[in-house]
Amino acid sequence: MAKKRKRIIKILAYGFLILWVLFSLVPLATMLITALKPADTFMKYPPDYFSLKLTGENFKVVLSDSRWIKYYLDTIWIALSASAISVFVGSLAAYSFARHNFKMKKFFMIFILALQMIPAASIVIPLYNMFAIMNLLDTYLVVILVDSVGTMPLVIWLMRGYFATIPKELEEAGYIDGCSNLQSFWKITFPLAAPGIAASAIFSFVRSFNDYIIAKTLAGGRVITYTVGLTTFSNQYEGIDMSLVSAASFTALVPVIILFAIFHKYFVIGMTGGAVKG
Amino acid sequence: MTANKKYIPYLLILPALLMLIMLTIFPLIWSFYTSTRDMTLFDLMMHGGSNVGIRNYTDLFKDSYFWNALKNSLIFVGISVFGQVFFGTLLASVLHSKFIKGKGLFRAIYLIPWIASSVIVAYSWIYFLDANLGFLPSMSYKWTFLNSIGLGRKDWLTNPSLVIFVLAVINIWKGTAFSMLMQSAGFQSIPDSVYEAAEVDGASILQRFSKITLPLLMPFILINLVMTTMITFNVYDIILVMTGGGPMHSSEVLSLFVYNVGFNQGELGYAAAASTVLLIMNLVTTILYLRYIKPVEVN
Repeated sequence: MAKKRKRIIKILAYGFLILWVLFSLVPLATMLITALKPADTFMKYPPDYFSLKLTGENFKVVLSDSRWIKYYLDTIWIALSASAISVFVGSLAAYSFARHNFKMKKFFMIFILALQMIPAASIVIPLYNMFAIMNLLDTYLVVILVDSVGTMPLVIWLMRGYFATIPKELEEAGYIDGCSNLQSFWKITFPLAAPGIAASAIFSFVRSFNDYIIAKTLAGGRVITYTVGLTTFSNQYEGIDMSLVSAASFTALVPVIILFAIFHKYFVIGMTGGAVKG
Repeated sequence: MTANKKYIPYLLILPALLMLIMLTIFPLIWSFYTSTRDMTLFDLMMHGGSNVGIRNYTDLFKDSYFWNALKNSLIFVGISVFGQVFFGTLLASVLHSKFIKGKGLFRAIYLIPWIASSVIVAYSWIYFLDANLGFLPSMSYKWTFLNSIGLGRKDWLTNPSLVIFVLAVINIWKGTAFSMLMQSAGFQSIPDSVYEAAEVDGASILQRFSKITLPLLMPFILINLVMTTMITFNVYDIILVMTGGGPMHSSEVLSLFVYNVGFNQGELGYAAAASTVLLIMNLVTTILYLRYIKPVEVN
């Protein structure tokens, strides 16, 4: 009796897990099939999704399209710079919060946490106004700075947690051995905080890499990220070539999935702000 | 040396503070200022527009599109948050059971929609649901059983009374993984010994769930609800790409309303007033968040 009930629970549990796998994968899987179809598949109605005619042609077209390569490189440059700034500037502040006691420390920490709650929709228009007046719209600088500020509060809180786990005594031992403040930071604290830095860097890189709103509103003419580029692609080919947009999407999705597969643990820590330890 | 050292902690937080103030606080103040002016995209470069006091706000409360956006936001956020936390908790609890094999693989697959960019998510769902060429409508010709379980329709993204629900489901699809991770942390925080003691005392599965699991998980569920609410109020990138808020404003949530009024109609002052309302809603959830973050941080 108890055994039978256990089996039913087991079947229900696996059934639910497998249903959710299907739900998770079906839209992206059909997109992959679409990317592998010859372009003329979608000129017939209804299109034949199950024919076995598959081709790599769309990927070839997309990857040799100089516009797509430009969008791609723009995005990587922006995401790398933004995450470097976010992690560097954020770590300095986090170190201060973890190691020093000073007036208003608590206020600053809550202040930074609260900043994270300001809706993007509220500040994207004034930012547009500001940069329009300063004549800085559509520059790498603006997108990079705004992206890095977007991830900074989380990076500060994440890194503060990591620095706090490193015993102060280790650094003090460094002073006794004749290290300066900076030396003991570089030689002792920094390597020990490496997992936190990896998590922060991956989190802020992926966030900036996947950003759409900031790149769309503050740039889009000369500086074009792949997300913005994808929408212009789609407007261009609409109804004619779903397969090209699908192929382009996959060239941008696959690197993120690979990054995720390799750094799974840090990815989870970073994306949940340290609330979940991998 | 010691006098010098006093400045170090401030010096270290200075760059971060400066950047955050210049790129979030200053724009926010600017936004308040703009909300009291009659200002368009055109005025921006010429002059600052004219002062209209609180007229943008009084206009806003008379604007049926604003109330429509607010209603859409509540539907979208309500369904999304409930769905994400419910399914996230369910997935986490199943994946926490001892008898399940291949947990790592399941978890990794569930995380894929969450790490994909909104624009890619939007296109994959457009292509999945598109009335003429989409996978699901095309399949309903071949697999007629889809019609009988209600999946045979073609107006997923074009039916004004349906589209906001479809978008909420897509948002659940993308966001559930986050809740799953949060709730996994919750389940892991419950020591096995508690269950073993309950088993010795002869508690049934149902009793164990309602008397042990649920109360211990509650702080995690609460913080998850608040965080997801906060995130979801500000989601509009997927909707912007998929429908732009249409058809006929039927999928225009409040954050998208702000965007559309500001950038499509160029009414910067009016958009700023609407964004103040959005900010207040965020503030309320933030206060809740700060109240509930304490019990979880202790863990």
